[in-house]
Amino acid sequence: MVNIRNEFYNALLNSDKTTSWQIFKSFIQTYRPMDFAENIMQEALDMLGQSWEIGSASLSQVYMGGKICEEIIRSFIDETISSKETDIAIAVLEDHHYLGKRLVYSYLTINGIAVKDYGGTQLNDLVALVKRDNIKILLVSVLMLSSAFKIKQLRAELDNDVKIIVGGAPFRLDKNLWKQVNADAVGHSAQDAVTLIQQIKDGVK
Amino acid sequence: MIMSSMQRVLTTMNHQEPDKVPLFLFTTMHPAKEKNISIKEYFASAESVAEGQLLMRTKYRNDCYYTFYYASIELEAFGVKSFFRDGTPVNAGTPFINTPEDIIKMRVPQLHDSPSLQKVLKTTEILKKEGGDVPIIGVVISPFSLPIMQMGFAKYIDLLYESPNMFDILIQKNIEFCLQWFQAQLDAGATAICYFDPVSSPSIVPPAIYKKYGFPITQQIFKKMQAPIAIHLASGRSLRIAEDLKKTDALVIGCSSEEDIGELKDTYRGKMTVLGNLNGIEMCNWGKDDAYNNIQTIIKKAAKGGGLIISDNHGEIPYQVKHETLMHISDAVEKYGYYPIRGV
Repeated sequence: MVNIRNEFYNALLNSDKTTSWQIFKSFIQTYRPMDFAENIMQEALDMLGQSWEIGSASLSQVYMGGKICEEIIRSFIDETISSKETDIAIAVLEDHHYLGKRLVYSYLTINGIAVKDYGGTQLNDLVALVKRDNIKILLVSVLMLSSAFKIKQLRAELDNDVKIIVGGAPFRLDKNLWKQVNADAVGHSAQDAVTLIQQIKDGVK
Repeated sequence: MIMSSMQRVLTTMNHQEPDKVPLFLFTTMHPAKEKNISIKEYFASAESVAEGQLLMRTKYRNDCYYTFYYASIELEAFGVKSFFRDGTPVNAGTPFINTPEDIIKMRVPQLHDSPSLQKVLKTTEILKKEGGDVPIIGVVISPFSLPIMQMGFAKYIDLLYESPNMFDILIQKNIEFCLQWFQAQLDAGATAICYFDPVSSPSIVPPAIYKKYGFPITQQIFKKMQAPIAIHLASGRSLRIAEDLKKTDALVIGCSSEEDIGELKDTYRGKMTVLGNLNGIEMCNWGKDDAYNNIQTIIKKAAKGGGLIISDNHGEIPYQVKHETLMHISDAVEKYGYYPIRGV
């Protein structure tokens, strides 16, 4: 398993879609596709995320890796996840850069977590969507510092039982900024999002 | 001997010790605060921005003028609107490239058709005329990085990895635009050009992709332009592509706060002057001690032998950074920055 995982990790690191699919197809000749998601893909993506954290992988590699995994996973669990009811949503606030959001979205999907994708939103629209859909966990991705400061206003407009998890460049550069904008938590990688959602669901956060 | 800002900067770029470590505070929006006007009003005229830069130099003992207005001004030449909101940086409007056809149809803007870019050129001319012996730093966004605003981050990464032909068409058009814009700023009186290229950073693409695309594009631009050039990766890391960066003939490298300034200085020593690497985001919450400690650290690790310009890590200081903080930074450079370096 470790060898397969390492091969798959290398294929993701090289954004090599063909090899990634070959590894998957070869694996499911012996095992279930879900075994691949749980034992190979998740760990490979974790490794990719860790490499990004220490600066040895780039954002585009993490993004392309996530995209390949999303495609593979949708080949066998598309229906199950997208049709699930959910009280979790993800959005980009006041920007047009969806890379971070897409990464997290892919990673959540791969982990079997259903999430509504609001795309790029303005503050007022986001507040309305969250209220309409009765969202309880909101993941917000920002690129600009000014958008990060908008989270404070977002927090004030939403009920306290809606937990806000933030992520994006400003929060990576200033480790305390999430507290300053009254977010409930910050994630610096896609796997952080899974952990934080789990902690919120378990009542730890 | 007290040097002029120009002498100070040229000496450090020559990897020798000037009288004092030069300070480049890239305060693009703070003059609006100072004049108590909106950011939109401040950027409305060339004269206003020139006046703002003169003011910033006096106030913070800045060693350059910075004619950069805001990143999306280049996009305005392509017909995209910028959005101004009080108290926040100017943001680009919706990306205008959504399909391959949009790339094919895209026309390379002509500078004389762009009132916004003409304003920047006029600011440069005013500063050249009235600014004294101080370097004027112009800015271009690299053809490799401009697509982030033209099409959005995710779509651009998809294009880069999955549509090499369309990527080439877009880049060739952007190169044509970049060369025009670069030369026009030099003609207007810019002393040096800061080439903003965040996508080339290993934070965004792996070194192999930089080598394949970012580096040759950079070479293509630099070979045609006769000017001192700084490469700025706008907060992105650079160490993993340092050897290629050193081959570009750029004289200055903008440094990320995520990398150690001592290691950066050692890596680029004698080849490129390091510019940075104060954390602009954290700076929003700095008190006096933070400013002094950060300046001391940079000077201690990187000032020896010249080749250092103190600046923020991004090339634009956030609007939220307080005047007092900027003053503390300037005072700290004044206290610790004189050569021979002592007391840090």
